[in-house]
Amino acid sequence: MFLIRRRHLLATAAALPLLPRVAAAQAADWSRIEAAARGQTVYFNAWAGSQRINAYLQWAATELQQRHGVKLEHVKVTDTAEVVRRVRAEKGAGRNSDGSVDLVWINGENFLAMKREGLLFGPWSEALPSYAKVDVTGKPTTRVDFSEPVDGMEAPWGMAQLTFYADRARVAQPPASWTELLDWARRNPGRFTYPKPPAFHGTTFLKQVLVETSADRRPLYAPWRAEVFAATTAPLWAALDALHPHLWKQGRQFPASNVVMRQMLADGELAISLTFNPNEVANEIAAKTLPPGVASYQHRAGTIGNTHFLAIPFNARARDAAQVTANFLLSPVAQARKADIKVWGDPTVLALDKLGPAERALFEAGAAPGQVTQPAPAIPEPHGSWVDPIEREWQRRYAIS
Amino acid sequence: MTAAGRWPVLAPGLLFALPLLLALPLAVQQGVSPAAWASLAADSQGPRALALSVGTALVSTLGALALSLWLVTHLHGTPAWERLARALGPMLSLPHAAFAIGLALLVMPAGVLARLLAPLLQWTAPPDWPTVNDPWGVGLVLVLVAKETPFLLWSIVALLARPELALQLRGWLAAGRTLGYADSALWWRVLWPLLLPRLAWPLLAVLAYGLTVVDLALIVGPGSPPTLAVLAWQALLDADPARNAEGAAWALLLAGVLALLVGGGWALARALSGPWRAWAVNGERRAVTATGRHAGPARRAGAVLTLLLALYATVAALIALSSFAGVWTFPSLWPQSWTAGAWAQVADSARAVWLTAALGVFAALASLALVLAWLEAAPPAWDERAMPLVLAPLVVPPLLTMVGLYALALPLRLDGTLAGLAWVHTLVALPYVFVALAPAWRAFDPRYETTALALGRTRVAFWWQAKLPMLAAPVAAALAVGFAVSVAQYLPTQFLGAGRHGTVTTEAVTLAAGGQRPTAAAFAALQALLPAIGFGLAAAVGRRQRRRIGPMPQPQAHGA
Repeated sequence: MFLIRRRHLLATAAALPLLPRVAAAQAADWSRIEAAARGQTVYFNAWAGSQRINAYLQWAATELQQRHGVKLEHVKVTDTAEVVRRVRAEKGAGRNSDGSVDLVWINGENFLAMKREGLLFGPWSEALPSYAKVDVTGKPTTRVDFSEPVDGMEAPWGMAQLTFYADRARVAQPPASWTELLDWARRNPGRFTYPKPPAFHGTTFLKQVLVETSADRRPLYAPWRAEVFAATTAPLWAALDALHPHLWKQGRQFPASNVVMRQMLADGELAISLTFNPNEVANEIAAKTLPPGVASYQHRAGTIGNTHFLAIPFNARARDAAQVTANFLLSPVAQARKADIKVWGDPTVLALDKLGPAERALFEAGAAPGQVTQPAPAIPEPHGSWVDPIEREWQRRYAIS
Repeated sequence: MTAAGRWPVLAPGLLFALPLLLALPLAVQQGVSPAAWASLAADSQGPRALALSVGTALVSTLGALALSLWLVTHLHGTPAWERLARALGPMLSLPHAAFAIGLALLVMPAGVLARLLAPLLQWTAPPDWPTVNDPWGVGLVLVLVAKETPFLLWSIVALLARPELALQLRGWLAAGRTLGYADSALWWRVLWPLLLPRLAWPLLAVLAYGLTVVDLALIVGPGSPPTLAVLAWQALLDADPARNAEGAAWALLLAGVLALLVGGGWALARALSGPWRAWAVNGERRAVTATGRHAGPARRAGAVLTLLLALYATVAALIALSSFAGVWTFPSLWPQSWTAGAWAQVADSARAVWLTAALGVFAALASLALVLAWLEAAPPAWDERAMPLVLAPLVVPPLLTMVGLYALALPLRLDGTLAGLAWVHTLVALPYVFVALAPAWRAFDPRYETTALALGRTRVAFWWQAKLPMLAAPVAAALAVGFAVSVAQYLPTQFLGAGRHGTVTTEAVTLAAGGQRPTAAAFAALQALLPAIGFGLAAAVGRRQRRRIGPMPQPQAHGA
């Protein structure tokens, strides 16, 4: 193991003649972290609404125990905001060490809140050995979370992109743009809807409509300003006013989540639904919770895409083991297993061309029924500060039927 | 008993009351921020949400009360009464959330009822029914009435089982019949005016529950806007501290509304008592049959009871069925594919099942110990005075209590620990154990003790060898109630357990939030099964005791 590390160091030194000291220092640091991590328990707070994700984390726990002597405990969370609240309460109570959260699955506004309030440990993520293979150029959202710079305060874990899916028995030609969707809804009243904002997927649908209908998207990628809000969001409200009468329940009620919508599509109540995981439908068909005739697709001009991350709270007890866990979850082995549709189907954050042939082979899998056949480009998330004002305006306009 | 002998009262009193007395001001303090109240006043959903909360709570409480009174009036003394008394345990042991999940499977647009009608009406897609998550709260009212009626019936049966009342009841009915009144007329004119004031606490609990419930409102309640309790809950879980303060303010508002409703109800009851008395003694009566009752209403009440039981059975069956259902497209009456995946996941969560059982047993035993210490040490007159405090956790919105208890547990480092979890489950279970046990314990004839002491036995020996065995049935029932309450806890387990300790209920709610119907149904089934085992054991203790030491004075014994 020592030899391997030395060889790795030499290679790094040769490639970057100006940085050998930094690399050596990092490697020394990393072996110190790995040594300290042994025997620690990581309380990993992660959303647990999916059986498949829970099973994947059980696999990761076994591997981490064997490879690094780290005990991974999955703390099952319904809503990541609960975790933010808990860490904040701990800070308020003066608990600056020995916190109850060691690692949290996070992105977007929750990350923004924790970063701004100084609730995070770091920077640490870019020093992880596995980080070298992250696709920071091809997947720019790995370094900018909802337009907020990551600054090494969280490690990218997986990719997500808004994806629609339709029951092909009832939707011959899936509508692949906002205008086609509106047209389809007019012809098929009551068979489409979106989750009620602030449910995550509902808010994302609003952003999708906004970027598709906006003539100028630039203000959305700068922090929110009250002066530009009305003009910037006007196309969204006009679009929704046109769409709502043709939605399920005439747009007077909205389902609570996208998973409720998936069930409604399986029941036959809806014909089109949406998800953030391009592989979800293939997964669900394999698990027999969706009929085989359902197909995924994305809007031609692109759909909202983002990255989800792993962060360590400022008062984490097992800081070292949390970094070892994150490093393992970023490794090609763990990322490939996560990307496997039979396991979870969460797209990787790694750049496949940075991997060796053996590692790359791990990612090769055949197409599965229900998968997206023609992937569209990912449109970055608007700045996180827009989320709240848009949700509040939506509440004001549509929350009361 | 001497004053010195009363010191044990302090232990249960303090262990139970102190955390609550400390927690509530902490919670209130978070809800009094002027900024929070300002943004609350500006929230356009507020008025509708408040109207929905008050409306659903009042309609469901009055509905459950009317249905319970009508059933008792027409079934008491008929052969169906035994059936009613036997059915209450199983009906009560089905947790609210599980019942709501099952009822939704029956009445939702893609539910079994619509599927049954589909071939007749040639539907190919689910109808636009406002049965679940409807804007008026119809689904929520339906679930609340169906779930609270058995609770009120159980309270009434427990009340009528008190020996002193059972005896009086028989006398009043006999006297009334000789005056030519039908039994039902006697119930409305004489018995209910006497009994209703003693049902005030259960009624208050039903009203408070309906007003502040979160999980049911999420499963079957309205969404645009939701009820006030759901708004409060969403705000309390938000990442933004200003929204948390708003949530605490909503919760405080709910507590205030509850106080107003209770005050209004009390005033209304006082205002009505005069006219009611005047009507009761106006002497009008219909000709009665030899049995003292009219066959028609009794038959109808029996049919309604059968319907209620059938509803519970259907709900339970649907939960079991959908825990195995794979793809099940409308309007097919039977799933197209089956899966055991949900139960495989239950098997993976074995630790959650054991933890749920262990917490439930601990909470039941610990609160029983505290309640018994109180009952033995405090004079009966203190019960009434302690009632407001005992019932505070049932009446104060649980969200508010949990915010305070969490704030209290944090500096004590009790959050995330099993000790903290066991403590909060005991706190929550205790009022129910007290309410379940106190009537039977207080009704115990003190002459038994006098006799035992006169025969030279010590108090301790009498307690262990006579009193406890004689009261084994109510003690077992109280334990089962405490166990069931602990099993059903979601908010306390999530708050105090820092999310680290999954129970059957937290797993069920997290998975239901993930919308996975088979898995949610499997955990709902488990959530129902655990308390059912508890109540089954309690019933077995009751039967064994009746066989061993003969029947205690029971109202059922007086027959028709």
